[in-house]
Amino acid sequence: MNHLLETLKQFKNITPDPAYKESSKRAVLATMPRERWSAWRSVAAIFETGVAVALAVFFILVVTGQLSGNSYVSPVQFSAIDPKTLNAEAQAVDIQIQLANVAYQESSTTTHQDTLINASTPQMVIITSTTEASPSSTPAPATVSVDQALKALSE
Amino acid sequence: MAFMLAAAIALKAGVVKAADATDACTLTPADFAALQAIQNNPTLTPAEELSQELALRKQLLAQTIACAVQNTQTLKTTLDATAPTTADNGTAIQSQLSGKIDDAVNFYNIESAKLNDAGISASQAIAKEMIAWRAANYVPLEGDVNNFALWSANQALFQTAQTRLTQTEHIVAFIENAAAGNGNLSTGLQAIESSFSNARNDNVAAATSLMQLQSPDQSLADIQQSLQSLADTYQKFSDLNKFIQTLLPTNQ
Repeated sequence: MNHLLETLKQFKNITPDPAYKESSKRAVLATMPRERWSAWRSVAAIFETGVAVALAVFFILVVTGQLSGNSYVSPVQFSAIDPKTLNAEAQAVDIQIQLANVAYQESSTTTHQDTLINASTPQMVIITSTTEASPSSTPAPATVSVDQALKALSE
Repeated sequence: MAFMLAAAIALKAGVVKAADATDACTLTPADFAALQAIQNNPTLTPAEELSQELALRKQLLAQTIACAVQNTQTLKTTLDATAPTTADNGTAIQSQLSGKIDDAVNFYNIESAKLNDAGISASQAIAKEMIAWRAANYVPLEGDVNNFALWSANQALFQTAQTRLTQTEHIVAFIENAAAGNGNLSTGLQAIESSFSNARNDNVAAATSLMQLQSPDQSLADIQQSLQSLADTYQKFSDLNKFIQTLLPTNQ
């Protein structure tokens, strides 16, 4: 039994033959592929790096919602259903409608005034501030419009 | 809303007042009363009366033409201040109106040149010619410029509505993907799309009226119709929005 144990302990001292170790090492190194420099490899490396950077930027933009112009990758804009912004936009339309109505009323009033001016004689335009003006007539304007002046100068 | 409207109208009034402030047209009824005074002055000989009346008529007519030119230049300023829009021939309309304003200034310059050698009857004829020309050309041009400014301001509203429609389409698609079977969503969205299509058609019709220099009343009616259609679209946006709010988890 003791003899067997002694034999097993001696296994620790087993080493390869130095000559065989060197020859094996050379054989392994000789068969390894060598990384040789080439233009194609440089281009491919640059391309791979560029793709990686582009993908990183793309995902950053997707996460931060900066690609709202692209419907396929942008996050859904739930702010669109915010009642406050919807009401603000609707009110802007209503204001514009009322401005258009004001413009229409101004247009109608101007046409009406022109009709009155055309119906009146030049003398009436000039003497509106004298006693000949009727009590219901409007006060004479401080200045005379171009059309009123032309009317007066045409007769 | 009332405050915003008041502010908008006040802004508009401010623009008009600013234009008036720079207006050097100072013809008053007293100027024309002087003309009558000459005609009714018994102390003047016929030759003196003729000479003084002609001088005053030419002076007043020259002032009137200068005033008309100034008003036209103010109109040009209004047109140039209108935000340019490339939508629906906006630039072409603006350019066309600008050309018409230049034509008006040229007409006034020609009438002013005629005044140099005019007698009393010729000055009266110039005044009559200007009245007729202004009624046929300048008054409609003034209306067209005002309508163009109004229409140009509307384009931002239509662009905003287009953006809202696109976002709403995404939201509806998102909800339908998450929980299919909401038929009301599709129906509501179709109603919005149809209404907005009508509004855009009305907006194009208004641009066509402006481009074809139709009567200002017609152009303004088309603009009003397009805005009314856009308001109808927003009513449908609101209806769909309320329905979407009921589907959101935060409201359940």
